Amino acid sequence: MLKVRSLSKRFGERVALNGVSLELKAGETLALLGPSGCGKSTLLRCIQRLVPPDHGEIWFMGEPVHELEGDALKEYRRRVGFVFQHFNLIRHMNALENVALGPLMAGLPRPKAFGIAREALARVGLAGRAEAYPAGMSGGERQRVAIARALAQKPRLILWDEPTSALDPILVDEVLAIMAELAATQETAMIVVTHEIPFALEVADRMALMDEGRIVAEGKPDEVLFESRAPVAERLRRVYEMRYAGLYQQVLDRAGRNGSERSRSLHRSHGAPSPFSWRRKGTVMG
Amino acid sequence: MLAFFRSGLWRDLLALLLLTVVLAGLLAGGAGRIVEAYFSQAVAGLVGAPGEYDAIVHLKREAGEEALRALDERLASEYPGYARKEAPTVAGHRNILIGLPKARRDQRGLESLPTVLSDVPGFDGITFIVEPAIVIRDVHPGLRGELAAQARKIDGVLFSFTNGSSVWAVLRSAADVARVQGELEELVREKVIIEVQLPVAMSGRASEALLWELVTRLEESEPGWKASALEAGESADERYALLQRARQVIAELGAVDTAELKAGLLELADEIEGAFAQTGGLGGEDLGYVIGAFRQAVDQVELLEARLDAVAGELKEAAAQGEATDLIVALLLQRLFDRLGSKEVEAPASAVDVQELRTGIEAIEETIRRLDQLKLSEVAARLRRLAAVVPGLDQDAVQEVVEALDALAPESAASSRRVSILVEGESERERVAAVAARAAGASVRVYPQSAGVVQPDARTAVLQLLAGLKQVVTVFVALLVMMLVHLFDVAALASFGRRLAEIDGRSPGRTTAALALGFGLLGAVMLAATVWLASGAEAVPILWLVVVGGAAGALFALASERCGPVDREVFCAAVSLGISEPDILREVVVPEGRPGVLYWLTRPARMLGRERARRQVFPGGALPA
Repeated sequence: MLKVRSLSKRFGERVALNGVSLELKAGETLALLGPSGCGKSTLLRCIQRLVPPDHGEIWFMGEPVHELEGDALKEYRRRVGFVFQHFNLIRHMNALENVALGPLMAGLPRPKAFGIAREALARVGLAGRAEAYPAGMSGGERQRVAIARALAQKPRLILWDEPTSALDPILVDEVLAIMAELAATQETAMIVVTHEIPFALEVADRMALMDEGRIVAEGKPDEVLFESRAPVAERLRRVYEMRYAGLYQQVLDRAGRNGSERSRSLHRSHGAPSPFSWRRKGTVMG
Repeated sequence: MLAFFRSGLWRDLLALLLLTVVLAGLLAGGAGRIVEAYFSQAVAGLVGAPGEYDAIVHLKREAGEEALRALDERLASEYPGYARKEAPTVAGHRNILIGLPKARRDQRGLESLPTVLSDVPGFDGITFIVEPAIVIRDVHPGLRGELAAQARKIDGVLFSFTNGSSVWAVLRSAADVARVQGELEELVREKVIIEVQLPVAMSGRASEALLWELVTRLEESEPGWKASALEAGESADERYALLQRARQVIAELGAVDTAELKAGLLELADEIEGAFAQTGGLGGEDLGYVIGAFRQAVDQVELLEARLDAVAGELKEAAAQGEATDLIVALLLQRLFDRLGSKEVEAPASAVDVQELRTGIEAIEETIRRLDQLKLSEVAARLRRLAAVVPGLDQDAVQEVVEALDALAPESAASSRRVSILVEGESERERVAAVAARAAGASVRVYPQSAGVVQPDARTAVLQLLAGLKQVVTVFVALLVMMLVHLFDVAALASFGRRLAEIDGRSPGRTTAALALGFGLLGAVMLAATVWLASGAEAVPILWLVVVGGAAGALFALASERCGPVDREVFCAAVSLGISEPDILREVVVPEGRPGVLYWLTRPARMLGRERARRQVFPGGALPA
């Protein structure tokens, strides 16, 4: 579905992307990890054409994205959703209007556009907050509105740029749960830039590690994290073990009782399920 | 930049421009007119309606009501039908507005006004406010009469008069002010006065020679130049020169021993009478002696008469040239002629009818030839009469007059002297001065001057100032409105342009330059059109407006990230939804920014975000029916 070939981008003297290549299949979820400033957000923005790359190619469903202009480019952007780290909601519009903005501007009639918006809000559990304005919402709610805004376009691909980094820990789960549900449905391909290693391990089909503008490791999440010899992989392993080691053992014990299929597969491979299940009771999805 | 306009945003910009120009033009024009009307009314309240009053008489406040009564008396007697109104007292002076009756509102009436009022108690001068009129100020004394005469010939000028160093041209109609002013300026522009400061040691003859040399050289240096010496006028140096001349003449007069002449005539008369009494008649030889002596006496008197005429002529001429000179000359003449036996201030008439005497002599000769009986008694009588009219100017009297003249002469007796040359046909003073300096040499200093400064009458000058003030207010208000529009709208537009350029990957430097150029142009057009609309035909120089408007527009474009930044991330979010640029501007950028002209222009077409705006206006949520 998505092919990125030798993408390069420089900001002045600083090299943000240095010949990055990757591929993504339809419905696949790719977790993109790496230290801050390694080019993860730049890669996403280049894919969305929010930042023009200096060199390289981007192909989406057979179309050369790097050559698109005008209406064709706008149409491409509608098919690729983007969820920003800081939500980027429009302050003078309520939740419903924020979500309806895309469909309405695409030319849909007002009732239909608002209908799609209500559906998207319901999907993220905010049906009752349609009239609320961003200033009156929590961070988690705002990010869910942003997700609904992306979903309202019915994208084939969603790009997530650290969607939980600006949230406090309590609200992180809200958003991760939605992301996990979306990943599970496999309706939409996703590239998720995240620092949430457990999420990446649990939800992503593949993981890519970036360092200094390059992809240094790519493959199955657990293989990349636990087996890659890249220096960044080693650093991530140390972080993972420091933060989650004790808890991990508990999860391993519980995994056999009620973990998800992914958890069970992890359990099978490592002997225990992951403790990080984001399937919450009451979350309405699908 | 082209993509910016290809997206259709140009319509919004055009609407912004037109609306701004119209609104700002109305505001600026209205403000200017209000200011002008307010001050015009204030002026009319102070100095009356146009043409109502002709002069302001200044009276010292301490002179009290007596001054006012005296003023009324003088005016009633000399200018019956006059109008009077008291204006505010300023700096210890009461200011009385005077309107002359139509019959006396002419050159003579106006020029004599200061003299008529000079003996009013507390009188401290007059300021003329005749209108409509054009005034030429700081006119050289030697040029006043000529300029006044030339002004009278201009079409539209009713009459002209002089007052001090000013020449006034009173017009028939206010509509002629601009045209006549232009013609007078043209008249004055082509005249340059060269003041030549002569060294102290230079004699009168050398000075005169230099003067004519300069005149000749000036005329020869350029084909169109016409040079002439100007009569000295009222200045300390000129007064001194006059006094010195009078002194010289008086001294020469003193050299004539009139006492001896007088005594001689009397003696001759005695001898004739004595001889006649003794002999009963005179022989031819005696008669010849008598007649010869008589003739000699007559010659002497004639000489004296000539000298008196010369003095009188010079002093009389000087008397015609100004008040102060009049005064001095009047004093001199009074003193002199008191001594000379005449009580008249004017130049004395001939003291002796020389012609009659000569005729008498010829008659006597004829009589002698006919050998008629000589009426010697009549001869003697005539000699006595002749002696009686010979001025008794003794040396003491001459010395007294000379000392009086010396006392009147300024202390700058030793100062250098100046002569003035008028050069016509050239407007560049420095050029004329350079030619004169070369011709005069290093020892002589040359100063160029203009022939005068042309100004309209006081009210017109004030109205011109007010017009200038109105323009200033108009431009200021227009600039203020424009700055507000720039702050509220243009800055956001410029920032929006930067965001678009970033998305497209265009060079920041080129983007900045393009924005500065584009919005500079917008600002220039906006300000120029606004002021033109507000001021109409009296618009401020267009270049100035273009420069200032352009600079303001460019400045706001350059400072857009400080004045009206468009949130980069929100913009990216809108772009990521595949929304077109005009839609982003209308739905996201403008509503998120300050509520300027664009906010209201785009509001009708805006699809989203209206509910919040309505609730801000109607907090209770209730909408008007």
